[in-house]
Amino acid sequence: MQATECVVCHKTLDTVAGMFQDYWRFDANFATYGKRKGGWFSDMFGAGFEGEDLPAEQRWRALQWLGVRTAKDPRFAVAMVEHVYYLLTGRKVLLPPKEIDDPLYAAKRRAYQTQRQRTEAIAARFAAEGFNLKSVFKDWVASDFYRADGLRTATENPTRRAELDDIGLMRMLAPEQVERKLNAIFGERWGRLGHGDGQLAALYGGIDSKEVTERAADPSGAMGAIQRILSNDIACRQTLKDFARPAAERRLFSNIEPDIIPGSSPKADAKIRAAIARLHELVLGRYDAVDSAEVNRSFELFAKIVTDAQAQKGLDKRENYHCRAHVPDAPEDPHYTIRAWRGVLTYLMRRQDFLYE
Amino acid sequence: MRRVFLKLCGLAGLGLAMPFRFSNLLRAESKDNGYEGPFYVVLNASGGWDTTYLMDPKGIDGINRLFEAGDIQTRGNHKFAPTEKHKSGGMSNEEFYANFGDELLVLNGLDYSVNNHSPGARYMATGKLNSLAYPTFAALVAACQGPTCPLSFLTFGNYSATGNLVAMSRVPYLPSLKKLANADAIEGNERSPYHDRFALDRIERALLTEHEATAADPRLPRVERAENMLYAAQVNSKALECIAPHIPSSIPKERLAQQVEITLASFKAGVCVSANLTIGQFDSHANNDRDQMLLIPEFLAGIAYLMRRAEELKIRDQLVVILQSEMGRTPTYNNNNNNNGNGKDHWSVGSIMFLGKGIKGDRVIGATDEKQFQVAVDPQTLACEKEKGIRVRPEHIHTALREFAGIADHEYSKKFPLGVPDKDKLKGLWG
Repeated sequence: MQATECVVCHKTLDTVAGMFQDYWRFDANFATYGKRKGGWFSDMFGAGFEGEDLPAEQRWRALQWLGVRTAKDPRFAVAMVEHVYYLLTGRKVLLPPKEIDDPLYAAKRRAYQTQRQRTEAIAARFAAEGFNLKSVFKDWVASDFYRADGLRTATENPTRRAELDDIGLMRMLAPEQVERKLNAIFGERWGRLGHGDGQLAALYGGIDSKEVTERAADPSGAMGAIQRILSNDIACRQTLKDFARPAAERRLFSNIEPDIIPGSSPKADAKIRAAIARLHELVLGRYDAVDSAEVNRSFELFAKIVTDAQAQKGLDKRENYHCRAHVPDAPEDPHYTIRAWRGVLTYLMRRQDFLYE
Repeated sequence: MRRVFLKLCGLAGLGLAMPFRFSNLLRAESKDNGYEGPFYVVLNASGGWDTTYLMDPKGIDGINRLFEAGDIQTRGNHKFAPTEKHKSGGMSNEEFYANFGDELLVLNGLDYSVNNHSPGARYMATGKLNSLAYPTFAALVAACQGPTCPLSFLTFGNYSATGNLVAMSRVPYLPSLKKLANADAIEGNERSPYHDRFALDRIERALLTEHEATAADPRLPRVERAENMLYAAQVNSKALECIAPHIPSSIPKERLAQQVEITLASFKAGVCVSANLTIGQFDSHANNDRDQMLLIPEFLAGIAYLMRRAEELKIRDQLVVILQSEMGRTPTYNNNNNNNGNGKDHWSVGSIMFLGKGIKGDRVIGATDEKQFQVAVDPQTLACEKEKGIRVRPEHIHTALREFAGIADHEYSKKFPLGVPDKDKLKGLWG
């Protein structure tokens, strides 16, 4: 081990690898990891850590010895801070840009340096506070990197956009997170994105911890289809069921009844708008005013479905069979309002506010 | 249906609203049949295949216990290991070469450079060893040639990084494909829609209105990108309806055959450019000959199934097939107490094979010597040239693949350069 280009890596890797020389299993089924018959390699650097040799008397507890030194290394704190960033945002911290000819190099460099400064500051606090990982989570969550959720003014300037490129939390929910969110909103999971149905979970960018170990960060066409299935199916399961309950026991539609028809009176429209605002809060986590543009769009959707239905001939007066099959004492839907509310719920669940964090 | 989809895309104003990689949606989908080829299939023998039991037989010095040098078979310019007597299922080498030897291009003596699984798989998939950012060839070609196809890049495992150029789609089971194809119908049954047609139309229009309204607001680049991708994913997903007619009624049992059916249905529907297929367990440390004689025939049978079904679907002439593994196996059987001396460990020299559209077959390029070390190749003549040749590595293969696919000068390819100088490019690799 003398070639310079080899030594540069091996002087670190070999020494750490040597710490594991006595880490093996007796079980024959794990024979691959058995003790090396000819003894440890003699043509590589000996066990140790960054220039410090492992004392012979410490060999019996080599990994503990390594652990102590690893934790003392300043890079350990930085690595942990970077890992927490990944856990919170779903993406790795920025790396220094390499392409010096890139016209956006300076902007990317600024973005990297700014984030790196914050990383190191959090790491310093982490070390100073006795390596309590909670402090790292708190510091990241309190930072602009996590909290920023918009711009005051639009920018088309490529340089500024490059600087802001990694700012803000915009993370598509993983299948398990979608299930938990559904449980929080509707009181029950969908059950098709969880561990019980690996097919859809895998399709929705989930991991199996074997062949697929990285979650999908962006939706594919297939995932777009699952989002449509999800929104259709959940709205189908929950809308009629909620209306079938006494108003005081409803989760979604406690402040509205199916006989309140849009356009029938200002009071009716106001009630519908209030119900929509409540749905926005529950499903999207948005606190929209009843006269906001957001509520206007949902109101218009609801009203137009009801109006369209009035123009149709031969429509069933009940919800479709699949949606009412498991609802005892299901109310009828003579004005098509329950199905229109189902349409609104479907619409909301296909939105970014619902599907992303 | 395609026209309905295009109309919807037009309504959606995707050219304005989508991020740059979706901006050419209408151009890419301008044909009524969607993406029509070439279709790229990368088949991975995951875990490390023993090339001496397939396209680079030795039969000397104890490298192969199942045959001697005199038993080696030939077909045209190919030499291959005899496996007919040793397989218990799948397809033997004899059958495989009889069926496909004339169109098969083999490159032996590929320098994987590493003998660890993860870096090896990454290197073989991307042509870049020391970066986690590079896309696989399958992802890159999908991004360049069909960025808006809803299942542009399908993968069933193995290293599948996309370089953030294109979404990765995992559709591991056929029934899942049917549900996806009819997402607005209960359990994929198109006769049982969730919403009445007029209500669904209203929902789609409301989503479009919402999308346009938010696009006008000042947003962080990351938020803007995510919103565009989400909207594009949902709109593009409607094109999956084209797949339904091509989904077979019965599901094959074999691992690769299931992946093949999903892949070919997606190709046929014009919604997919490339697929990364894989079967694992080639890592035969414990019992090399037994494991390789199970897996190589299974792998070859999967390739034969792919070609046969593609023929039936009338898209075989558009297939480009790449057969690879992330490493080879040692020329010696391991000799320690734990492995009983029957296994073979990792070896950083191996082979890769190609067949399909635009590839001249019945050719073998490169070689390994009697100790299974790489023999260098003259990149200009592709002849073995021990003294002055180059060590052919994955970046040489990927450079050639990019040129073959016509994407070498694409902005995405330039974003992920492979750094092979012109003098080292494999001239005439494809014939």
